[in-house]
Amino acid sequence: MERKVLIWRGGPDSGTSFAEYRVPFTSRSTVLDALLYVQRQLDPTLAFRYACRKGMCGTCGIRVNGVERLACSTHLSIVPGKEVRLEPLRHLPVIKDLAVDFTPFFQRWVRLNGAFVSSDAGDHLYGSSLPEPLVRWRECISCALCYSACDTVGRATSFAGPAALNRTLTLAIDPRDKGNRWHRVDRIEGALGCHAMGVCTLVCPKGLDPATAIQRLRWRRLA
Amino acid sequence: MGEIGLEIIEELTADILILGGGGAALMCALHATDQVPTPRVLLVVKGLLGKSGCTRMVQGGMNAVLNSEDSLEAHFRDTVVGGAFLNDQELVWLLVTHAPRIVFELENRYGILFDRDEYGRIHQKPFAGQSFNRTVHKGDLTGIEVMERLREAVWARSSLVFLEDAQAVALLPGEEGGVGGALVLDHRSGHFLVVRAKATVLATGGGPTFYRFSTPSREKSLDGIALAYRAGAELMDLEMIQFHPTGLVCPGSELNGAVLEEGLRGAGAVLLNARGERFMVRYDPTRMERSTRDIVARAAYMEIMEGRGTPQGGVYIDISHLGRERVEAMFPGMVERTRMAGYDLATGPVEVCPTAHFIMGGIRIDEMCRTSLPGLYAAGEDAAGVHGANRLGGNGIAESLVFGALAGELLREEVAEKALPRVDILYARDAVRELMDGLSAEQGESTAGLWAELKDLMWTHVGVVREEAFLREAIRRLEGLRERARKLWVGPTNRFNLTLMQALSLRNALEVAWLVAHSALYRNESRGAHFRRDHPSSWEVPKNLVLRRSLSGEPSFEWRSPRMTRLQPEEVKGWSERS
Amino acid sequence: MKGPSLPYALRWVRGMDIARWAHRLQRWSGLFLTAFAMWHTVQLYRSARDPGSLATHLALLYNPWFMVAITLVVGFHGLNGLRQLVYEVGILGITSQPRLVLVVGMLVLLLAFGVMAWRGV
Repeated sequence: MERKVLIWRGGPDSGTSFAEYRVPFTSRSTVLDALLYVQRQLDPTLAFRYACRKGMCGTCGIRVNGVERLACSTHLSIVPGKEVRLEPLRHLPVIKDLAVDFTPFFQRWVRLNGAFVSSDAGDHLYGSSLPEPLVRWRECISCALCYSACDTVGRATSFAGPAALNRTLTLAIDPRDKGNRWHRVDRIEGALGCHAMGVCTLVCPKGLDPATAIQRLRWRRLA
Repeated sequence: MGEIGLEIIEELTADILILGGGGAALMCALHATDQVPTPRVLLVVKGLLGKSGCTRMVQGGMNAVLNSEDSLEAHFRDTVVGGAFLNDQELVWLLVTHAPRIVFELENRYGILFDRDEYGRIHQKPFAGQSFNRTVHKGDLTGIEVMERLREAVWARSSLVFLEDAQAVALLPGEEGGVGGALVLDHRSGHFLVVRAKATVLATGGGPTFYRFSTPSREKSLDGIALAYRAGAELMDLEMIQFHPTGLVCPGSELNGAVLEEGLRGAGAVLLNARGERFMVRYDPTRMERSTRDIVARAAYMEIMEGRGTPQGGVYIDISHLGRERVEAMFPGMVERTRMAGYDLATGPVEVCPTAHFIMGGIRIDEMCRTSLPGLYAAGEDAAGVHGANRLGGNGIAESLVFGALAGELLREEVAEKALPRVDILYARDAVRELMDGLSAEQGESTAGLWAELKDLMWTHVGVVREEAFLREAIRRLEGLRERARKLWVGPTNRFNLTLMQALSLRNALEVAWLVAHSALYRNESRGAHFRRDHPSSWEVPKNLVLRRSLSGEPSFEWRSPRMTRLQPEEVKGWSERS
Repeated sequence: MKGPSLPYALRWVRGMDIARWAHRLQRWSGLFLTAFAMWHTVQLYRSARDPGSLATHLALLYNPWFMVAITLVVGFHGLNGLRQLVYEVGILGITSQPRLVLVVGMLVLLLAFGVMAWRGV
């Protein structure tokens, strides 16, 4: 079996330009397998990111036919349409082809004070679990798919983005955290800037729900 | 030569230069900058900070003595017995004594939350080869939890500077025969940089990816070990490579070789050959599938080689007897991964085969993480001595986090008194020229092709089961591959060139592979993970194999006694009866 | 913890654009209604002085097609606005997945509205 794959090629200032390749595949081939095939056999100048190849590192995020996906966790057989169109993530500067610079994604996270603040380095351990689904929502792999899918991230360059806000919620309900970040959350940069479109939850590869997390952040401040 | 630049564009300085971006590297960086005065720390990461590497991929958990019914002596003993007494016992003692405080630190300082049991106490699960259930974990993705919190902490600490998509290609000599920094290729700009540092820490995470089936993250290529070798540092026990017994068989996909963690066997999974037999009864009847990784991997390998494997070359692991819902609840990540590969862990058997997972050997260090070269340190998988001849599950991430922390704390004090060394800029320029010589824009061998040849050769000739004739042939053919790798086609630019990155990785992997084959040939006994079909028994007295690049450019080998300061083989009941 | 039986790698994402269109239409309908309200006010003000123009204006407003159109716009904007309020704050504990159902339900109501407006005229 073979599929036509169109891959966006270019640098930081390039216009839209797709290169076309024909890629063989089996029922187990992923988009990452296709990219490696192209780079190893057809065009060694192709640039993209990958590391763990099993959906744990969150490095290989791209857009497949306009939808944000992890390349390593997307089987070629399920991509609809006649061709597979691969583009880099949105709202992040392109380094080359499909490889983007994640720095703005992490910087917005930092600006929201989205890191654990310790109360003490004691030698005792917290004596309980956290309630579900909040334990699940800690499993974010910071892949930036939600960030790319969110229109508001593109329009408001100060908006922290779904992943950062999801982390804010898990920090808010963590009794051990002593960080002070509500002054950032209560603004356009934070939960109030979200227009509740919910595309973030649709694209999360780990089944997290940033839209609901942001909803809960809003509720916390109102109630 | 097209756009491949030879100019060294920038010179950076740091108090502590850390090469790597995984557990050991981030712990080192955080601990070095925990107190004032804060040294200037620079991290150079081959991929993305906290995302590349293998700490992230840890599914099992971290061993630590936290329960009053457990003891440091027990953890120590398990580790040394598991390592077949090849361990440096002082390093093991550091591991077991510091692991508990690291667990507290991870939770209280960095906000990690390990799983709790129904009484709210930290849950410690059973893992093969241990006398007590001491593995702390978060579900089956402990690595993600740990690395995400450490990544967050590093990004939030403005005193830490890091370069991503940057690869150290050579260590630079400093003063008095030591190391004064590194030559780095910045893939984003395509330019070379010289970094001068008072201390250079190798924390690149080993990663034996030169096998047909291997588990580590795909960018790994034993860079730290190769850099240390070329700089003349002492390496040790390189032949000790752990093959994890259960890697996914998924031909035609990069998922091939991805690990299914040990907790499966700890929870009661069975291993079956193609005839449906639980073959472990012939290799370790008392512990069966819960035996140590080396024994299980060898058993699976033998079954496959002797024709009792599946058509695709694997055996089966089956945990479906626990019931679909329980399996989905206990191992959600693994269930999903097996479904991605066309199997279903929750309802039936999954095809697996041994897969190269971890290198116990590496750069020889002392209990201050110092290598044999002044100014050069190592922590994590790059370092040798902690695990001896075989690593226990759960001790790998423990080693990275403990020794990363120790290195950071020790270096914070050490660099306060040191002066910044001078580096030889002409050496750096020569290194660039030598490196880029043969990386051509117009013609050369295919990097992907040579990688595939290397992986196949190592799998068949320096794999789970080794033999003299095969090892000699491997050495011969590896020399041929190294010769061919002198001229590689990489394309017209330095900027984010994957083929160039793969070419640099290939050369490091080839260098270390050749040393591994030599070491495997020298050690004509079987011990731990190293099995020689022609020498199946172990020597009475354990010996470390230490090697170093001599001035002539050839490696020189030496046998040394391991530091057995706390436990002797005679003290362990039944030790002398083992073969 | 139960997950869906089909893993992410084999599940394609559908319905990404519904949320985007709902958001865009809300903005456009809001702009349109604002403009319409201003125009309507101006017309009424003028008609106070010039009774003839009032009749023209009213004829337009009572035109069945215009009524259907304005009902759709007002209906959508209002119901979608309600949906947004319900969803953004989490009243009734409604989270992401049913949002699509809500949007669809809304459109059905609108159509009903439109038909009633048509019949009424």
